[in-house]
Amino acid sequence: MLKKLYKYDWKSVSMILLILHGVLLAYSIIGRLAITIGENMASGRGENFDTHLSLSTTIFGLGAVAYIMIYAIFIIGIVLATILYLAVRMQKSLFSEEGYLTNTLPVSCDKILWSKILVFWTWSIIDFLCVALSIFILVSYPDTMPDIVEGFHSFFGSLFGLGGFNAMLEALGVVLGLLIQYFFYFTALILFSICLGSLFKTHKTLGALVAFFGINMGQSIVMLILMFIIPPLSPISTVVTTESGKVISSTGGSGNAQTIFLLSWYLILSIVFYLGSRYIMTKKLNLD
Amino acid sequence: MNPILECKDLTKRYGNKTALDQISFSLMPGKIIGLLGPNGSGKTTLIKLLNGLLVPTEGHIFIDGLTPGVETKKFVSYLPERTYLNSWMKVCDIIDYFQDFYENFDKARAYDMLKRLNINPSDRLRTMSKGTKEKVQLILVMSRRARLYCLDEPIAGVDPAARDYILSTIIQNYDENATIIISTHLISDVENILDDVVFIQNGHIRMVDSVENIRFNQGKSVDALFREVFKC
Repeated sequence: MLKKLYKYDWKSVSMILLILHGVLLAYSIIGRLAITIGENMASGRGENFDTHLSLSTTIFGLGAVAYIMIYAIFIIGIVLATILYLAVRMQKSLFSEEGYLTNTLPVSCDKILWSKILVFWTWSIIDFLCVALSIFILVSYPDTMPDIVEGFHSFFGSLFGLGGFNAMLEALGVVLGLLIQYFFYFTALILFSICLGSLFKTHKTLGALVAFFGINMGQSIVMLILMFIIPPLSPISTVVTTESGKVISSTGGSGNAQTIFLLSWYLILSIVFYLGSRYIMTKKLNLD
Repeated sequence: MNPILECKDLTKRYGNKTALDQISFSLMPGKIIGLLGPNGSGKTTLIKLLNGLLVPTEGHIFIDGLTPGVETKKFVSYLPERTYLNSWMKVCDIIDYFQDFYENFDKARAYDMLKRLNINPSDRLRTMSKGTKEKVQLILVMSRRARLYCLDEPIAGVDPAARDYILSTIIQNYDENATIIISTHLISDVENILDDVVFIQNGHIRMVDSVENIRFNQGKSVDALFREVFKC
């Protein structure tokens, strides 16, 4: 049943998102072609964009600036729009008129929730890959390729232990942190906020938004307080040394402890949010 | 024989407002039952509770001995009073959707009813009128070989010709062992097809009786009795 739910949830969101991401890639390819044509024309006349020798290179330069500005807005817009659209679809499917169908299907609440989560994850990955591919299309030139390859090499080298154990741990912490924060915490928070919003008598969408930002701020404050009161997690470190540089005393948290704490914190919150969503769906469902 | 629907001290409150107040009654299977009451009497709330779209504040509701959940949703076919279908879907997509999720969905029956109504399965819902959407929804609901059909205001807001079609569709497409609960305030239109009636008012059950008893004992039609009971 989860597979079937996923299939229909996927269908219900994918048309618009596919078009949106297709436009982004097309825009990137057009930009890349324009840059290549512009460069070839300029180099054919012995000019370049940096020196602005002629009107045509100046126009090309201005065009490039406008293109990059629109591109930056497009990239930010598409990431936000994807998240927002998926959240709105989740809300509609669970708690609007469509909820009458979703909630009368002979499937468990867990499967309904997981179907939404899996579609959210899938589109988040596609979104990330499209944005990465789009940037790659625009920045990959013979001149820049060595730097790009070196960046990848350095990052994955650290991740697979080529730069030493500590570097690997650090890279692993960063990757795990990002994955848990986005795929677990952020997704579960969106779902939980939508469920909380459904409990409001009116203005359910506003309720979901208030819940989302309120919970996010609240958990950040609690997390900071905990980090300040638990010495190994403290973000402030002090080191007292002698004139010769010998360490007399030092206070403050360790990087590893902070990483483990943050990973656990977000993982626990994700579980709490999921269970909260499940509780609302099974015990407090209230379709007007 | 177990009752198909049983309510025990069932209460539903929305904030300070009590929609259903400690109602207790049971309905036996194999009948067409009219859930009759004026607007705001609690009919839709009861049907939503039955379908698990609301959770009772107090008391219990049982469908064939089970509390509303995954198991009951397998054999309860529900027609809400609003359009709940995804407007981006084509009729044929929705039929596939129902067949995917409901084991008792009869695809051939659905296509047959669509053909008789000249509804093109390739049409998207967003291109259809409200009345056509309601007909599609009724076709989907009645194409399931369910044990309990819950039809919430199936004839409200449609013209008399469409009402006749809807009622004949209901009569022709249900299994004799199944139960149909029809919620409505348009008594005269449904009176002829009902076996039993439940009168509900202000969240209280006023009467549960058979149409035959009402006619024989009280010498009145259900419509006349309804007007008498719910006189303003």
